[in-house]
Amino acid sequence: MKTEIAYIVLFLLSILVFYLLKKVFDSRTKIEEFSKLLEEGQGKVEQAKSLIASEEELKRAKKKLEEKNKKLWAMSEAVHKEKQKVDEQNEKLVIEKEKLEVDKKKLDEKVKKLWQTSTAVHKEKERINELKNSVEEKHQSIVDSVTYAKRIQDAILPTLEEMESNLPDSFVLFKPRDIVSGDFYWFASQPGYCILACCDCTGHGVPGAFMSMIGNTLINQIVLQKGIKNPEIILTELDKEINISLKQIEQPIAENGMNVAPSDGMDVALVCLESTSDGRKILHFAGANRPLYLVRNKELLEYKSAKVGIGGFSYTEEPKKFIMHDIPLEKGDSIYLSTDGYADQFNKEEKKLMTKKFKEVLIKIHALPASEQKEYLDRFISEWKEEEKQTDDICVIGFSV
Amino acid sequence: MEALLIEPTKNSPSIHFDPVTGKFSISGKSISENTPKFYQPVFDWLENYGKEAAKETRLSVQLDYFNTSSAKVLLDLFKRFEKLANTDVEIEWFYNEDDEDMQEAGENYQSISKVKFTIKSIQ
Repeated sequence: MKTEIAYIVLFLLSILVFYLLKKVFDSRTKIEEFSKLLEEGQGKVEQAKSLIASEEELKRAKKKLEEKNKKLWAMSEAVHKEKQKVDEQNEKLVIEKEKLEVDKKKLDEKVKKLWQTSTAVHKEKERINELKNSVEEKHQSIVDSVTYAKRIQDAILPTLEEMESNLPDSFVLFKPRDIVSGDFYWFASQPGYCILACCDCTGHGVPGAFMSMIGNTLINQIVLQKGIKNPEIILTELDKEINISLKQIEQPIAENGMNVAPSDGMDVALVCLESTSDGRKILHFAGANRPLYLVRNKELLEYKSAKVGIGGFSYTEEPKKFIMHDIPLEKGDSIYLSTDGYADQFNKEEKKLMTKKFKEVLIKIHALPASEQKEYLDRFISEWKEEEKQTDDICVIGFSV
Repeated sequence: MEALLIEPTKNSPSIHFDPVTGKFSISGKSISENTPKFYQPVFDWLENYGKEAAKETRLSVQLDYFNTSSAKVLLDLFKRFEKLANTDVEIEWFYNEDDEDMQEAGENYQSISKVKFTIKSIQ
């Protein structure tokens, strides 16, 4: 029995020892684990420490980052705003671009049209140039023709020699408005007398010149062929002949009252200068709508005529009566016959020279030699009219006895 | 009927005929190369006016210058005015006080006018 108890106790002891050893082993393991844990814990503490340190760093870094972040945020906002602006501008630019494209299209169309117009204008210009050349040619042709006609008109006018040999102190200021003139003058000398006429046919230029041809021929007939020397009779005859020539006796009246027949005729101042056997000079004057001026001792005497023209129309329907003046002349008398062209000249202020001024000029110059009088009258009227066009044909005849 | 209004040119006068008031005026220059052509519309218009004239017809004429063919047409025109029925016609002729020629022309027309024809000078 003791051995059995010993064995049991030994067994129990061995179990105990085993248990204790296990426990120790466990404890050791636990201690190891524990020290591992401790180590770990330490490690973790170390880690935690470093973590704390880094956490602080982090905090600092975080602060920095936050600041940076704030800045970045602000920048980002600014950039965002800028971007918004840019976006708006961009939108605007897009709209602008679209507009420009539309405008460009319009411009292109306009340019196209302009080009077409330019081509058309160019063609027109060429056409107009051709027309211009054609008109200039025709005009030149007409001017040439009328210039030639002037030679014919000049040919029928009295020559300077003819007039000067009978009226030594005389001048004629003859200024047609256009190339040929509706004014003309006529002169003839016969034994004991000479006839001088200053005539203004209706119109000027070509129609006036035609009338002047007719008038000239008729006066030739009356004075040279028929030998009439009485101015009153000459004018009466002239009136009769012109009416026949132009068939004016029957003048149709249009329905509404305007007389449509031609009213052509002429105004005339006609004198017969008679030299008597006892050396006196007598001037016989008759006029058709034109007066005679006589300047004697610086005084101007006007001899009026009947207010009737040769041919043409008259204010009344009574038969025409031409008034005759018989004027005994004195030495030094200056006599002037003229058409209305001189006094009717307009200046650039649209004022007529007027008869009054014309008379004043005649009084001023009458004592000068004839050629100087002519020069003065010519210059005076040129200065009066300046650049104005000549209003009418001008004819002024002056002579002294 | 409408008034007759013709604008002046350097060769033709201004014409203003008012059928309602009976005030008529011709002024400026009458130196057309073809005077009948210019005045034809005036005569035509007068033809119509004559059918329903105003109670009084006053024509005032103020011309600086007119050529022979115009003088003749003016004569015809004045005669036409004289013939207007059912209206009291008066013609006034104005001339520049220095212009003897216009004064004389007015006197000529006055001497043969059958209606009241006055001549007035202006400055």
